[in-house]
Amino acid sequence: MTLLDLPDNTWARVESVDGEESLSRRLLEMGFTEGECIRVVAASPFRDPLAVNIRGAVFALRKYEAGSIRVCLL
Amino acid sequence: MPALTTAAPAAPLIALVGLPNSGKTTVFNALTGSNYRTVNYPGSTVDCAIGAADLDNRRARVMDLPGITSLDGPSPDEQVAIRALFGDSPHGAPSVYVAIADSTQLPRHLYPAKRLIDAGYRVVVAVTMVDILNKRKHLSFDAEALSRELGCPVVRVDARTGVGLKELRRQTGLLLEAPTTDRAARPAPLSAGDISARYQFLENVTARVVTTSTSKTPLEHRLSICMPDPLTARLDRVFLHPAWGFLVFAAIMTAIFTSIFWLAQPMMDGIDRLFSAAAAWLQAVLPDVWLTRLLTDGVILGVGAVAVFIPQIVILFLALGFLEDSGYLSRGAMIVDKPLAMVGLSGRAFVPILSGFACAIPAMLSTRTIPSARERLLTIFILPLMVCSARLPVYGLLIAFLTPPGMAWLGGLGMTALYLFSVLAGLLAAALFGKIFRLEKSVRPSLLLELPAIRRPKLRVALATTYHRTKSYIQKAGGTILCIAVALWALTHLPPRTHLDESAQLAGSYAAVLGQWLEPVMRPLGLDWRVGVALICAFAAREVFVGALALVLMVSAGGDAIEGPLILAMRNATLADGSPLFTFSSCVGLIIFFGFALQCMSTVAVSRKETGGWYIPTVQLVAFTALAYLSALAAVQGLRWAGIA
Ligand SMILES: Nc1nc2c(ncn2[C@@H]2O[C@H](COP(=O)(O)OP(=O)(O)OP(=O)(O)O)[C@@H](O)[C@H]2O)c(=O)[nH]1
Ligand SMILES: [Mg+2]
Repeated sequence: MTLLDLPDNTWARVESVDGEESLSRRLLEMGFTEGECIRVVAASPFRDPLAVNIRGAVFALRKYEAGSIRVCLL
Repeated sequence: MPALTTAAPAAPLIALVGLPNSGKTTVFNALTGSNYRTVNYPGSTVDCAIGAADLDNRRARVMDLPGITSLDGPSPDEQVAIRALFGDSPHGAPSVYVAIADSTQLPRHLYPAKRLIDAGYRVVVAVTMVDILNKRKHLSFDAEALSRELGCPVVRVDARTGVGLKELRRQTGLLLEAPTTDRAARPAPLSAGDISARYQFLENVTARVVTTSTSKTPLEHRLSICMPDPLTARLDRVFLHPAWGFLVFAAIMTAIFTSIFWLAQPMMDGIDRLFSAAAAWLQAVLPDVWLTRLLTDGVILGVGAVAVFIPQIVILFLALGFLEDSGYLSRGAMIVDKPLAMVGLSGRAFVPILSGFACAIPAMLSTRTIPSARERLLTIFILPLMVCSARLPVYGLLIAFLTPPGMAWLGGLGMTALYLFSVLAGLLAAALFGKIFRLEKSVRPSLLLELPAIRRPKLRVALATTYHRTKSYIQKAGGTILCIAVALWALTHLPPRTHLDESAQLAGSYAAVLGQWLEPVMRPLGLDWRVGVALICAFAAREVFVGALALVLMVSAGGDAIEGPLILAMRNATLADGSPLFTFSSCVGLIIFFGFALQCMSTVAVSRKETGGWYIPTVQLVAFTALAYLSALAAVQGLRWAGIA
């Protein structure tokens, strides 16, 4: 599943970052690396954008950005 | 930058490097005694700044840079920083790097530092925000352990209170003395596997240097490091709530814009009295010659009419200052991302738009944090439409004129409506411009915005930014207003003829002769040449309109106030046929004209520089000014047709 399917405030681990090379690379360098703990802290209407908590930071991610992050439940 | 001249050109260069919002500018200000703006928003610095610092009796130049997330980031502000980091800037190559790292997010913040260390550069790591780590997350940080792990000096600093600055100076000075290695070279981009490996290493290091007193399993410890601090988490449940979040956003914005008009009134009366008292005093002590009248009826009246509106501007700056220091800006950006995306902008345009309410020029610079070229150009395109602080005196005067006495709240709502209108007009302009003109289509535009920890805004910080913004506002507009006031006074009083009353003198003056040319343009708007002259003056600076209007309406400053008599003079002014000059329809027309017209040549110049060509500034200048006249015309004629004078 991807971040979009993850229920709010549930911890998961990052499995991989797919999608466009430039975006996945940027996400990797921002710390969205494999095995890292991640959760959704808030969602706007239509889940776009999502507020995502990882490595002590909270990021606002657009739908397609969140959709490119594969996760599995902790 | 005066600091540049005080440091000898040979002084070694220290570069501050770190992620956005890690506290670089705060450290820079403390080291160099500068006053650059610090904002609790990632991406407040978008350009290099240089200052001189004393490091344990060694002179050095310190360079503040925009934040970077990696050593090969895409957005224009990151490119500026990365070029400067590797010596591709007029300031030369840095000798020592001070890597600023937020202790609450160590792996991410140590990632660029680690790459510099591995590449053989001389690095001191300065760890910030330890107060948040200690007080809110109840974790402690061990600087010595981190120093051992990384193999470089590590200093804990809080530049806002001065903690650790002495040690940072000492360690940086020591590194300057250390012999250079020549193996340092710009590292090549990493493969995906290598990135993960670095993060794994830094994650393990963090688990060892950030410790807790209570016993926890490794996973619990890891999660407690990973979570944002509890206060931020609690507030975000409201700020980012799908429904409440939007209401809070709307309430904050409405409160700011309403208070600009509403709360400023008492202070405005004070300034008003000050200027009138000065004029009365000068008239009493100086002989009644033309020079005295130039001073009282020209300079004091013209400048005073605008100065009366400074409290409105101060309230706006103060409100923005509080908002900036609280960390709410990123939340606002997230809330408006979806609506902005519909017209081809992104949430990252929110902060430029908000700072466009102060002035379009810094706002255009702040668009550098927008990675997508298309979104960035569209944002620059619409920024001149925002109600900037130069428009505030004009709107303040016209709204005060239209508001019935004793109903200041209505004026406040009117002001809010104008702000809302400017944003809506901007969104429409973005949608149209994005469609009609083909801008370079980039890869899918991203948001990827960090939401920093929320803090109680510091009054000192808000006051300081307000002071600096107001000072530069007065410096920028003051000279222009003064020159125009003197020139306009001369034009309305020459050629000198005695034994004429004021209106006859004005009718025969040079200003009237020149003004006749404007009559045909102004008449369809229900206005006459006098307002036309004031409008021409407004092309030097928008706020001059108010002073110029006071001069051409011949308001005497001898009385006990300026703003009151100016509004009275506006009520009494008539057109050639005896009908009133300022009616509801002609005032609405003026407001609309000012809303669209691009009357600020500095904005045009910055737009050219930031967009890298004349295309966008030319379209802005021609389209917005034509739109201003035509829509004002349509509004005035439409209102009249509907029977509203
Ligand atoms: N609590 C706390 N806040 C800090 C500390 N250092 C800086 N700040 C605050 O953090 C915010 C960001 O600081 P800046 O100095 O603007 O950060 P920057 O790294 O220059 O940010 P960009 O220019 O956006 O890259 C400001 O609101 C500072 O007041 C610290 O040690 N503790
Ligand atoms: Mg900065």
